[in-house]
Amino acid sequence: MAPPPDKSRAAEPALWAFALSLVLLVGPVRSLWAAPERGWLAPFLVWLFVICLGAWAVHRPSTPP
Amino acid sequence: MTSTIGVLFGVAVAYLLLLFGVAYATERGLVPARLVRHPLTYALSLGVYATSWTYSGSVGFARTQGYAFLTIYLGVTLACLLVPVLWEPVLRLCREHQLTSLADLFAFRFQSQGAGVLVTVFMLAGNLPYLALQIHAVSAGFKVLAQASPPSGIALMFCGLVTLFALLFGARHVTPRERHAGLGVAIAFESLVKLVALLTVGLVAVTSVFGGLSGLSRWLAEHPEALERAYAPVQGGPWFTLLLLSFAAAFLLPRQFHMAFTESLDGRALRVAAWAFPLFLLLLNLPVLPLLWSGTVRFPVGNPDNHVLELARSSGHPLVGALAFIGAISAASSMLIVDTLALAAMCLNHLVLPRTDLARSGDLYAGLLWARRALIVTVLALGYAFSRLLATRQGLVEIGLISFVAVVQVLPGVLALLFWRGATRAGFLAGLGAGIGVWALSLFLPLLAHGHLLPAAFDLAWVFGIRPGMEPWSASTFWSLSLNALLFGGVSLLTRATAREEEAAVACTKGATPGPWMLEPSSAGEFQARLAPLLGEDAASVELTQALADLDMVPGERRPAQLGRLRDRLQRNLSGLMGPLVARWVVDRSIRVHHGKRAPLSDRIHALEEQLRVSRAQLQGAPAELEAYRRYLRRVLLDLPLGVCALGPDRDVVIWNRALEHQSGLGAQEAVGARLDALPGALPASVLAFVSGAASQEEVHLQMGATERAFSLSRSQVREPGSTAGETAGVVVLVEDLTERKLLAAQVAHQDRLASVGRLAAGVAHEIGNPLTGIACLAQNLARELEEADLRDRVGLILRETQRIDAIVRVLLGYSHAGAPDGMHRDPVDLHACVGEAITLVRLSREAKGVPCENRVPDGVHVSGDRQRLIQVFVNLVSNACDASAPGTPVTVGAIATTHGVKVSVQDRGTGMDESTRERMFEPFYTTKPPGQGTGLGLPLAAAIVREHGGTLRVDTRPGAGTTVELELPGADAPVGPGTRVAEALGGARA
Repeated sequence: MAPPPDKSRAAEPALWAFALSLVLLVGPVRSLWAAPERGWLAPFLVWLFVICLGAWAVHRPSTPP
Repeated sequence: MTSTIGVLFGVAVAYLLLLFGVAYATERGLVPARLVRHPLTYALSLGVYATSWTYSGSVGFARTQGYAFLTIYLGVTLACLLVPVLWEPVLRLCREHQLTSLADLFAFRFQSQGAGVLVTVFMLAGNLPYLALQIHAVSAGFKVLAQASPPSGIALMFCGLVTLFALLFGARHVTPRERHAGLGVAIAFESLVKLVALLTVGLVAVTSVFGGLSGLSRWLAEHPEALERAYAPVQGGPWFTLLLLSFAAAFLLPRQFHMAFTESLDGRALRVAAWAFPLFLLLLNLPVLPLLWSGTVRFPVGNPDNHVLELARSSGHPLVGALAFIGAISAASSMLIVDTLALAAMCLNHLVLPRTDLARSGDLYAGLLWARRALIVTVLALGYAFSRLLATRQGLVEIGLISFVAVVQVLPGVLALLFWRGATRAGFLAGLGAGIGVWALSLFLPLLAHGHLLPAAFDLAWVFGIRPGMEPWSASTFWSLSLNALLFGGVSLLTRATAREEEAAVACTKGATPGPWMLEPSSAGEFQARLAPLLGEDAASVELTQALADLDMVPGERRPAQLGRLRDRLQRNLSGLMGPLVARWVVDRSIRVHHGKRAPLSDRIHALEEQLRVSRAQLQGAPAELEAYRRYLRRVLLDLPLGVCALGPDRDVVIWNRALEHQSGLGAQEAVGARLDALPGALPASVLAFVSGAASQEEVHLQMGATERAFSLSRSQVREPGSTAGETAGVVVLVEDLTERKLLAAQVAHQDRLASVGRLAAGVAHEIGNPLTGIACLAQNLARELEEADLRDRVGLILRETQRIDAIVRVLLGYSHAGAPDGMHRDPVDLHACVGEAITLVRLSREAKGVPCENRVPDGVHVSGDRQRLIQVFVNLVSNACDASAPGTPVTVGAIATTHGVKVSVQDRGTGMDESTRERMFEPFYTTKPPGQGTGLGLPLAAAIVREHGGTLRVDTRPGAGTTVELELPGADAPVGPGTRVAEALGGARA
C-alpha cells in the first residue's frame, strides 16, 4: 500500500495564498483598492484575484488531491 | 405590476414541484451520472450558503454597511483558500469514522456525549432564528409582489412542501455510505436559479433605471457620495469581525457542513469547489450595489431588503417578477431543507438515540429512518413556530448574523481538533459554555426581548458595552470568542485527557490505525452473536456482512490483528448510523477487549509498521534513514533462499518469508498474525512440534501431496537485551528443503554401486581368463587324441562351453573398459557397412529364429567413431531386437542425417518393455531373459559406447507395441547428404 501524500507539502501553497489574501483584504493594503476613485468594481477585481490565487494553490502539480 | 396571492402561490408550488422533479429524476438515474458527480455540481450545492439574506438582505446590508456586505462572502473565500489545511482533514475524518455532523465530530474527538449534546442544542438554538428568517422572507415576498399581506396559512403550506421534499429526498438512506444524489443536484439547481434570477433582475433594474451600465457610471460620477458611503466601512466598522464570522460559517454552519462533508463526493471535488464556490458567490453579489442604487433612485423611501422584488415588480415584465419571486423561494427553500436535515441528524444521534433502548427498537434501520423523519418534521415545526412567535423589526442580515456568531463559537474546537492534541474535553466544554453564555446574553436574549418573547429586562447586551443603535457583532464576537478561547486553552492545560481522548486526538491529527488488542471473541463469526442482543439479529448480520466486505475478510478469520480491524470497521459503520459514541458503546459492550492481556507480538509489530507507513513521508534525517535501513533488513529476511519463520512468545507468526511460502504452500497474508497451531498443513504442524521440543536441529520427512519431502529445521531463541534467562521474545526457525539434495545423493550412491559392481566383474573376468585358456587348450588336445566319437562329442561340448565363457568374459571386460580414457580412435565410419556387418554377425547366431533384419541405412552416411565398437553397439541392439520379436516380424535399422550428426533407429515390433523393465533396462546385469541366455550387459554396454562417442541413446517402448532405440552419433567430416531419409518402400536394402 502506498504511503499517504505529504500533507505539509499540499498545505504550503494554500497557506501562502491565505497570507497574501489576508494582507490584501485585512491589512493596510486595503486602502490601495478601497477608494472611490478606483470605481465600484475594484473590490470585485481584488476578490477575483484572490479566487485565482486559491485556484492556483489547490491545483499546483506538486499538490495532488 | 401586482400579482395576486393565488398566482404567486401557484408559481411557488410549480417551482417546488419542478424541484421535486429534478431530485426524483436524479434518484431514478435519468440525469447523467457525469453531471450528478461533476465537481461543479458539488460546488453549486455549497451555494446553499446564499439564503434570503443574500438574495434580499444583502441590498439592505449594503445600504447601511457599504462594501462591508462583501465580507460575508470574502470570509468564505478565505476559508476556501485553506481547503487543504482545514476542509480536507475534516472530510477525511468524516469519511473514515462516518461522522455526519459537527456534533458527531466533537463527540468523537472529546469522547463525550455531553459535548455532542451541547453542540446539538446550541446549533438548534442558534439556527432557529435563521430558519424563522427564511419563512419570514417568503411571507415578505408575497407581500411585496402582491402588495397585500398573505394569509398565515401560506407560510405553513410552504413549510409543508419543504418538509415533504426533505423527507422524500433527504432521508432516503439511513447510512452516510450512500449519498442523496437527488438532494445534491436539487440544491445545485436552486443555486443556479438564484444566480440567474438575481443577475436578471439586476440587469433589468440597471437598464430600466439608468438606461444601462454607462448610465450607471454617469450617475455614480454625478453622485460621488454613493461610492464614498460604500467604501467608508471598509476602513472602519466591523470589517474584520464580519470576515472572521463568515470564515467560520463557510464550513461550520450546519447546512454547509452537511453539503460539504456529509454529502461530499471526494477530495477532487473539494479542490474544484475551493475556487468554484467563491466564484459563484462573486457572480451572485455583482448586481447587489446596482440593485441598491437602482432601488435608491426608484424607491427613495422604503425597506432596502425589498428592493430586489420591488424593482422586479416595477419593471413591467411579469416574467421578471415571477423569476425574482422564484429566486426568493429558491433562496429560502434550499436553506430550510438542508439546515433541517443537518439539525435532525444531530438531534437523532445525540438527543434521541442515547436515550433509546436499541434492543427493543425492532427493525433497527426502519426505526432509525422513521426517527430521522420525525425529527425533520419537528425541526421545521420549531422553525415555523419561532417565525410566528418572533415579531421583530430587525433586518434579515441582523438575524442571520446572530447565527454566525453562534457558529463561530465552535471554531476554536475545530482548530484544536485538527492541530492540538493537548485539548481536553473539560477545556472544550468550558470554552464553548462560556462562548454560548456571552452569545446568549449579548445577542439571543436581546433578540427574544425585542421580539416580545421575553421581558425587556433580559436584554443584557449592555453588559458587553453594546449600546442601543450600535452594531453588536464586534463586541459580541470579541467577548464570546475571547472567553471561549481563553477558557478552552486554560482548562485544557490544567486538566488531563483520558486514554480514550488521547486515542481520539491521535486519530484526528495523524489518522492513526487502531491499536493492537486481544479480543474476547476468537473468530469473526462470533461477532454476530454478540451484536445481536443490542442491534437485533437482522441488523447484526447486515452490519457484520458489510464490515467483512469492506475489509475483504472471511467469516472464519481468527487472527487477532484482523479481528481488531473488523471491530474497528464495525464501530465506524455503526457511527454513521447512530453517532460515534452510541456506536462505541454498542461495540464496547458486545465485542470486549481483553485489557489484561497484551496483544500478540505480531499485532504490535503490525500496528507499529502501519504507523511508520503513515508517517514515513514526515520522517527526516536519522529517523528516515533508520526506517529505510529497517525496511532493507526486512527485505533481506523476506528474500532469503532459506525458509524463515519468526514466532512471538505466544507462538503467533511474526515473519513468514517467501521461501517458506513456497515450501509450505501457505501465503504470508494467511500466516502472519495467526497462531502457528491454527495454520493448516504438514509443515506448520512439524515446525510447531519442533519448537515445542528441546532439540535445536532436526530433520523431518513429510508427505506433501504426492511426494515425500525432507526438511532440516533449526532454531534460535530471540531474547530482549537485558532479559533474564527464562524470558524470551520469541523464536526463529530456519527451514531448509533437503529433498533435491537427498535425491542427488541417492543417485550418486547408486552410480557408485554400479561402478563397484563393474570393477568387480572386470576383476573376476580378468582372473578367469587364464584358467579358461588352459581348459580350452587341454580340451582341443584331447579332441585330437581321442578316437571314440562319443568322447569327442563330449570334448566338443566342453570346448563350446569354454567359448561361451570366453564370450561372457569379453563382454564383462568390454563393459568395464567403457568410458575409460584409452584413446579411442575416431575415423569416418561407413554406417551402412557397419550396420550390415553387425546384422551378419547377429544372423550367424540367429538363423534358426527366422527374424528378418533389414538394413535401411542409406549409402554414403558416415559417422565419426571407432568402427569395431560401433559394430558392437549394433550387434547388441539388433540382437536384443531379434530376441524380443516373433519369427517373421522384421527388425529394421534406419538412419537420417541431422544438423548435429546422424540419427540411427533400431526398431522391432516385438513384445516391448513394461514400466519396471524400462526403469532398470540400463542397469548392468539386469535381464528379463531366462538364466544362461543373457548377461544383462548388452544395452548398458551399448549406451556406454554411444556416450564415449559423444552421442545419446534413447529407448521408446511400450508393452505390446515394440521398441525403438534411437541413437544420435556425431557426423564425420565426409560429406553427408542433408535430409537423407530411409525409404519405407518395398525393395529397401537388406543385409
